[in-house]
Amino acid sequence: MSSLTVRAELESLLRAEGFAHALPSRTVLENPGSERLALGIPILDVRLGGGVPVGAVTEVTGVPSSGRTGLVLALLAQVTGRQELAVYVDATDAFDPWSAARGGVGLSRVLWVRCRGQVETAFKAADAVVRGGGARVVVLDLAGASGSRLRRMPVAAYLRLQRAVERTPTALVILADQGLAGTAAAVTIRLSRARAVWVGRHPACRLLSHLGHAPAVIGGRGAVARRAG
Amino acid sequence: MRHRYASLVVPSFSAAAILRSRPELRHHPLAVVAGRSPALTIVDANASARRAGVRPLMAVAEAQARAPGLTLVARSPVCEASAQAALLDVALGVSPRVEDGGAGAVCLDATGFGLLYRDERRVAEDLAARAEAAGLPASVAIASTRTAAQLAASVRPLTVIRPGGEADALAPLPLTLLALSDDLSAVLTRWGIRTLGEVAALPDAALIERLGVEGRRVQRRARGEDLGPLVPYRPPAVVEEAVDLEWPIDNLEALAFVLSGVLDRLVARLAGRGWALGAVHLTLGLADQSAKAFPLSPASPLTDSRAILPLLLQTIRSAPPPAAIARVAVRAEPAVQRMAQAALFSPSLVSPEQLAATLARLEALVGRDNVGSPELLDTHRPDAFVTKPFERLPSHPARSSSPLAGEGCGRGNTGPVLRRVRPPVAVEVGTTPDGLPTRILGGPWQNDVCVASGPWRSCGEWWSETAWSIEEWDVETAGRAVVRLAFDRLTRQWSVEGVYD
Repeated sequence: MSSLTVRAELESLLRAEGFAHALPSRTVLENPGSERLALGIPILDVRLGGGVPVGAVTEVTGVPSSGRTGLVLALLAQVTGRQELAVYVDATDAFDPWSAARGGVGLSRVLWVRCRGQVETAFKAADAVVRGGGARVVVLDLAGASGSRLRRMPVAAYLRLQRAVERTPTALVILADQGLAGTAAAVTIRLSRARAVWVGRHPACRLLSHLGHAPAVIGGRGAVARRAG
Repeated sequence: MRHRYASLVVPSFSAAAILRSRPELRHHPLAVVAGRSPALTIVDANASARRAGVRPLMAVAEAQARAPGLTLVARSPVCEASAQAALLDVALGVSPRVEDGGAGAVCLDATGFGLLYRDERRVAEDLAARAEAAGLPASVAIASTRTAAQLAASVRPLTVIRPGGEADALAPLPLTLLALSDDLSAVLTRWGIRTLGEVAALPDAALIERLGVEGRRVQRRARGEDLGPLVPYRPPAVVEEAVDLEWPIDNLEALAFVLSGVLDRLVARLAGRGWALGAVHLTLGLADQSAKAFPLSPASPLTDSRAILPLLLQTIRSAPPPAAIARVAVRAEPAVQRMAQAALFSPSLVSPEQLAATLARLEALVGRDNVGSPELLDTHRPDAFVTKPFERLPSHPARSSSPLAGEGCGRGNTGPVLRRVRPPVAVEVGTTPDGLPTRILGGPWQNDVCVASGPWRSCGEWWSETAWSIEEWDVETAGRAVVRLAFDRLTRQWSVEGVYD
């Protein structure tokens, strides 16, 4: 169950019990259609209710070649196309500027923080960026990071990020091999690997067209697992 | 057009320079001393001490007897240099033609100020207020000659001399204002001359006959005439503020207090001339006579000293000085603050202070080389890019130097995206006799190759040691991972460059 769902349930419970005055001014229930950042992928944007939520943590998970990085770069292209600031905190130094530029990402509006395999540093950098303000989207790329290092990160680290991004105009996206953030993530987009699509028969004239992927959205509107496409 | 000049003179300049860097002493009697104990001599005193009877060249014991609670501070050429530069900045804030008149004196061309101010008294009041804001209470006089303005400012707080009335206005002033040589002063005193008006009234020919050219020069000055044209002051490329500490500092909290004052004064000086603070160079003079420098380049020009202080403290924390600090000097490059026109529906830009603080934190975490915006290089070499410092304001699309036409267009592309493996991991690759990859051996990608696309050959820079010649293959393994392989034709080695994701 996502944190937004839990929070919405708690809010409705408090209202029912006559403790509405204890609620903050802007609650999840009062603000169900909170601002979203579109990915530019219509099928997913519809499933997500408009895109990834602002002021919350979105987790994009999947195995290598499942299309998770392409998904995040599509979001960066949308954000930087509006001249907004995007920050890419790269734990494993895997960001490819050429792929990003081909995908329409405005590199001059991307602040790339290379952590060279230091997972803890990546968390600290993401925290500093979110608290510093100004970024529209912050991507914390943990995909391919050492499992032992990730296991050493306490759940509190994700909750700290979630608290930091709350009530800010920033969307925090965590890119990982598997679900890590738990209840700190408002939305999880889980991608599974499908067969890649190639064009052409002979190796010398064959081209990789696109990766096949099957995204499933967990949390968000209704908090029900749904498979897109 | 008749020329008009304004002169700013800071009374008791040595004391004023000390008080500028230590404003907490402003309301206490203070004397500036020179020499070595016990032969200390008083060289200057603030107004409070002067009211109690303290005068320059007085013995310290006598001064302390006259003004109980007198604070003695050593003369600081460093503080005086900073104060003089600040006074020049005040003048440059209102006029481009400024002359350095020596310690505590500045003259500026005030011709045409009538278009900006209702009358010249307002000009004088504004200049006095600006000097006060810079921590230097100054007397201001406006006249048609620089000499008349400076002499008048030496005796009265605010003076405006009407055009042509210089000689009359200066006539009652004492002769001591001209700072004559001892010999000349003795001669004039013997003649019974006490005021500038009496010197001005002496017959020209007789004066030259008796005192020579020097006598004539003195007479012209006494009449308020200028002896030469204005020598424009050329401001230096960097602005510097420094302070000598009475006792060496060995902790960061005390240093932060001192540094805060220095930065406040530096930012105020720059702001007075419409500039922001660009690159900053902090130099800490240490008690062991060495010095330690801390350069800082904010991501964007800053105008708030409170934003710069934490960045400097963070830099000092990362490499603390080995000895106590005896002197603090901050040099700053003036920079033009870039303004942006915000659109109605676009999000507001991050403030320069916010951005500088965030970037400084990130640089402290991951190193300066690991933070920035990637910029593609115009080459076919794989993974060719540089990381350049992040700019707050987006560059104009027309000026984009990207080799890719679609960069920044905002169109999301769900095509294959590469995740780089840096540095590329060497692997063994099984191939068919005609070179087609059939199996990856080693690494997490070990598997049979189902689909292969390639070879995509590229080479370059064959004329240098950085030459490359590679064949790239896009392959899909039996585990459905899509990997980019590279075969280096120079070293005959296979490697994994990245994984499509």
